[in-house]
Amino acid sequence: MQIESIDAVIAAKREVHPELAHPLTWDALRAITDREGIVLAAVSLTRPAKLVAFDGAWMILVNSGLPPRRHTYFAAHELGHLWLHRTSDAGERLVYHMDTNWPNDPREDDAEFFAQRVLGERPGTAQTT
Amino acid sequence: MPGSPTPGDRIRERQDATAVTNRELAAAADVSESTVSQWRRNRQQPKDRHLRAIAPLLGTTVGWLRYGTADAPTAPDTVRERPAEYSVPTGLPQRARVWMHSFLLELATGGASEEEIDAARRLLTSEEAYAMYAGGVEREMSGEEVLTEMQGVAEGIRVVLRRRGRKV
Repeated sequence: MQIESIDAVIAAKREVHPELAHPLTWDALRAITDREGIVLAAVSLTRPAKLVAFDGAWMILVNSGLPPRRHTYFAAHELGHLWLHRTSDAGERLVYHMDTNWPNDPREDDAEFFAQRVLGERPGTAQTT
Repeated sequence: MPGSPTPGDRIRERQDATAVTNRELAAAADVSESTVSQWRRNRQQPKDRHLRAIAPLLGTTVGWLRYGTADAPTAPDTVRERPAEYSVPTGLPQRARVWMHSFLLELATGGASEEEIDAARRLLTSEEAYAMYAGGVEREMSGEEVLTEMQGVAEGIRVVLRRRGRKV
């Protein structure tokens, strides 16, 4: 996706979620996911985070074993997948993983850029490992 | 349901109702199949830790298995009538299969609908859930990794279902 397209999605969502006007915190992310009916939970996982569709609902799961300060980033990455790559109801794909060894996939780049944007980080500076 | 005379009898009764095998009980309790067989024939008494491990699989409680009086099985008829609803695909590691069986029973006894239980099973057995990469190449997850992923996703499923008023 073009950077401008990702920024446009964020700008549109800012109308609904004023929290996006500031660098995202965990509490702000929680407010957004609650408003959207998305489950946000820290659980045991083998990877940093995953986005999961279950029976018409979406879940963003982050690895509870990782430093809490990084939970917001990992969760924002998954929210990016949801908003950028799944714009309708839970459909053909059930699971998106955040895998640090994932092969090159432009959607992962999109989600990374989205997370950096909403957290107020400069693209290319985030640590995901 | 009146209690049977011994824990072994009650284990057999619940196995008949839930279609849980000796092998699955043995895996859950971390004992041999021969030990389970001894329990069933009243040659040995299962310890409380064994009953704690197998009670969810059998859709009942430690108290009922031990004494046959308190906390009778929660949904025996449901399980007896539709054992296929709780079947678990054989492609998963055994520990994961045993754990998933108990999780699906938990959903059933917590009031989840058949559609929700089916959605949980499809999600937990989805190949997408267990794709993992190393150095850019897909690799098979270990049994322990599969179980960890499964239990993490299950936590999310519980949250969704609690929001819908299910008691899980």
